[in-house]
Amino acid sequence: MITLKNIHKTYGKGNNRLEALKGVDLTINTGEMLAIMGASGSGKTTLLNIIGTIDRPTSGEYYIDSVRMDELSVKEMAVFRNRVFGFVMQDYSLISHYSAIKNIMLPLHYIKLSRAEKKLRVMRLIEAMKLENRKDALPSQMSGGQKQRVAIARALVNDANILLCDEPTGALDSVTAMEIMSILKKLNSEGRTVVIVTHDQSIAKKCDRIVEIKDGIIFNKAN
Amino acid sequence: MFKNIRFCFEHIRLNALDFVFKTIETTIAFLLISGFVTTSLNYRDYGNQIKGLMKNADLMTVNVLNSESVQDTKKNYKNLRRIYDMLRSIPGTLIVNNEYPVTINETYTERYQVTDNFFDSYGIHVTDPVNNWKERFRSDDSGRKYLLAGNSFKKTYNTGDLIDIQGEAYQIIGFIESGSSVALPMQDYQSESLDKAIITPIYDGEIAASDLISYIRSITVPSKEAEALLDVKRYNLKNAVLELDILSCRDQMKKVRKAVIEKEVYYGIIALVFIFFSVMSMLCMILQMITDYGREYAINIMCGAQKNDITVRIILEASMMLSISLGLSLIAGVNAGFAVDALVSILYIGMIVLITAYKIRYYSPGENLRSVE
Repeated sequence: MITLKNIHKTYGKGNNRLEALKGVDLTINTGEMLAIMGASGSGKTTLLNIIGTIDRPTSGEYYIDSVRMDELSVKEMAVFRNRVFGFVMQDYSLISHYSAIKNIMLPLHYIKLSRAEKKLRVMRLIEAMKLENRKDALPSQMSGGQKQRVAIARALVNDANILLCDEPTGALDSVTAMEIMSILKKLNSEGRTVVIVTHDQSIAKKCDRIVEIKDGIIFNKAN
Repeated sequence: MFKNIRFCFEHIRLNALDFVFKTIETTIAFLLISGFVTTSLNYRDYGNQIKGLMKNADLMTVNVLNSESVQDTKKNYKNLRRIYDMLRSIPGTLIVNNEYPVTINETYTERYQVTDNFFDSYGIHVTDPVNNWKERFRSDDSGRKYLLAGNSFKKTYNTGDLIDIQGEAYQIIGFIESGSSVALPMQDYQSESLDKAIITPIYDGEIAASDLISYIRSITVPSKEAEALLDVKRYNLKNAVLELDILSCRDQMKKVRKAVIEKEVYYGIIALVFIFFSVMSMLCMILQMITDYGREYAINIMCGAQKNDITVRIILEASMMLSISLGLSLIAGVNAGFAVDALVSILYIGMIVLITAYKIRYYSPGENLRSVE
């Protein structure tokens, strides 16, 4: 279970101070598929980054089960990002000069595994994501859907329990977007928690619960 | 650490062309720094040379024309000796003759034979002198010969030591201050350093007939003694000895000063241009590295890297690039600049560490991963 209590996030100082999150309270159950909706600049990506330990809250409490996340050391947070979280971004966040295999393998560099085990994990995911004929291709040689599947495979390579998706279908056509959503639904049905940040109503409706965020405040929670 | 090294090599392999361009850029920066050091040294040398100009240029110099046509006869020797003695007897006469270099320890050494008013005229200072060195320089009844040695001789000799010059022992009575130089009239506007030279008194009695013209040429006389010079000119004309011309030292020194200043300005500007382009090149490269790789590093952090990992990788890659660049600079021929290049490498790595640590400290991977909105 993910629990956020009175989370504040402020950027800048003095006259340039910007409060991106103003006391966010949110609970996400294990295995839930949650959509966070909001307009541009509402703070939804900031919230996602804090959940994913890419960013630290300025104040407030953040728990995953009983672990106090906002008080973890830099090294401990890195381990969480590597093993617990998987990220799927709108721009795919692939390294342009790495092939699909190398991109998927990236998180494996930060754990101790034999080369054979690493290869096995990667090949399983390539098969699962139907990327066999694109495994050696560079991102520039892939379609949007293929790139997003590579990103999802990378997110799952360490068997992440929590998938954090920031507009995962934002750069895709409707058909491909539905394909990606099907994959995310399937992963959710396997027991993974999926958090999707989106401003697309049709994507949000596919989730178990929708939360709206506006000006850094969560003001509407609907099933 | 090992994974970072592996990552670094992998990154270089996959971005080989980019790495090569950056290495070439850094090599050029190092060569520019070498150029800066060399031109700065030239700038400093020419600055020192201005100090070698005469302090009081209100002198007249004797210019001997067509000296090769003077025949070596007893009559000519007698007349030349008479002219020399007349000039020598004029109060305030300054002689600086450097036409007779010597060999000391198998090394060619410039020798300046001077009158004792040379030091004040050129503002030359003597270090580690014996007591009464000026009196000894003027004359000594003991038959002992004396010299002042250039600053470079301090590595091998001390005051009081004897130096063998052409079979004669000369005692060192002091050393010429480092950086001293002298610009002689009629010497093509050149200023010569005294650091590797020796200065000896003029021993009048020993001047051979064949050398008299050389010494006459070396004489300068205060302008107020112009009348005495005219007497010399009249004697010369009467006996048809030489073709003489009397010139003003002030005009000569003005030309020398102008030539030296022009060279000084030239090297100064070149040095500034070199260092400007070198610094700009290195700064652009550092910023380019951090900017280009910003997104890539953000993705790595998202996948479980720590900020320290990123810093280490940047330092490793920069160090490799610098080592190759330094090696290439050496092959290209770095002289005085090498020590500076090595120092710059250390400063450059330090700069990378500081800038990277600063940027990584305040770096938000979240901003780099933010979706396009």
